[in-house]
Amino acid sequence: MALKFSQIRDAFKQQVETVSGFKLVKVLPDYFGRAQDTIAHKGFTVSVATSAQATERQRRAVGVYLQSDIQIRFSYRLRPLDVYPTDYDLCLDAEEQVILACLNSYASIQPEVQTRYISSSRESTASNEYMITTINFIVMHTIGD
Amino acid sequence: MSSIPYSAQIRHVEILQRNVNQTTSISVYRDNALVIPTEAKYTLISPNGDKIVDSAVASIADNGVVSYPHTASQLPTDKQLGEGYIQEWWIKIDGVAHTFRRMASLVLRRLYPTVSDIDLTAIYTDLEEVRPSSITSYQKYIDDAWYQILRKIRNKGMGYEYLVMSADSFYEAHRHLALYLIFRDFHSSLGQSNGRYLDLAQEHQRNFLQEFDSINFIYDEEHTNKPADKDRRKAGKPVIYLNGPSHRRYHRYSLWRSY
Repeated sequence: MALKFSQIRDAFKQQVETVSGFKLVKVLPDYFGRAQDTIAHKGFTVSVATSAQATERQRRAVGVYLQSDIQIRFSYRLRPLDVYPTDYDLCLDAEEQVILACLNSYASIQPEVQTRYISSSRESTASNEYMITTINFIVMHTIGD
Repeated sequence: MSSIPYSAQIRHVEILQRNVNQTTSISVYRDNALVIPTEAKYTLISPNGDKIVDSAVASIADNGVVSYPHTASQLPTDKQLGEGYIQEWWIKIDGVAHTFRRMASLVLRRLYPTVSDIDLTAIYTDLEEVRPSSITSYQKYIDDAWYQILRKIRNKGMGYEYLVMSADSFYEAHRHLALYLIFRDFHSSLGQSNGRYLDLAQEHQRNFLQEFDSINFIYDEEHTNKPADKDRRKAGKPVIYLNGPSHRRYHRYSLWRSY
């Protein structure tokens, strides 16, 4: 069974939304975090950042096996009097929850989907009001007719 | 006699209501802690020097707060209303007696604030989300703003707050000042030289000063619990005219008049 890129993105979105309070922010993933008013507490985006071939035969009839980079970015509001370590730690905990949620099974949409956690990066905004966390995954999936 | 400068928490003139049972209290601090006295006595002196309560034993709570319960009969209806009452708290700390003095007013009604947390979150929804984990309410900022306003009323010669009948008169000023204190604290904690919280603090400080200067209220001039003029609000800040009205039109033999 083949999957569209958009279905992969939506599958990750649904997994992240299982974490309490997380909600999709309706801005382009690349724009997320650039301006203060595009982010919100536990707002997140999912981007299918890049895709590449997997070393297999590419037969459209049976599906083309691909490797895509999925990037999840979320913001976590820091309360002014609890910036560090209280809210910093809470942000780390939230990141862990998101990672584990994304590593859940995707068998319901495509049994052969494989997800792998790659890396995370964390930064605070200049205003010290938010942490912005970026989590990278690799997903192996199939597209086709 | 000890030279240790204990700090009695006196934020404002103590307000005592006439013919009402009420408890008056005082807290003494030193080194970021409430001092726990070993003995305390309370004296209330009227404006003419009579002692209404004379060295009565005051109770000391486990946390150190000293209090005295006034009965309604101690402050009967024939007592003179207004300013000039003096409370003297004789408090023994570490074997040394200290007398803390606090001015008091005998009134018919207190003035209560009208701002609470919901009034702050009504205009800043996210104040709920950024509330510090150490508190469950912004009450301490609201209270501090209220005491600042009470002191300012007297310092600016606006009258006495307990004679103001329209409690709503201070609503906007109180809300702006509370928000100023909150955002200034946020800004201070972040340790930045600028930022959104500083902008908001400065905006609310400006708004507070503007609102405070334009406050007007229904006032009980005679201290009878009735407005002096129910249809006329008294300006908190008096208007001073630097020039007189024209005299010409009032002169019988005006230059402009033909005879």
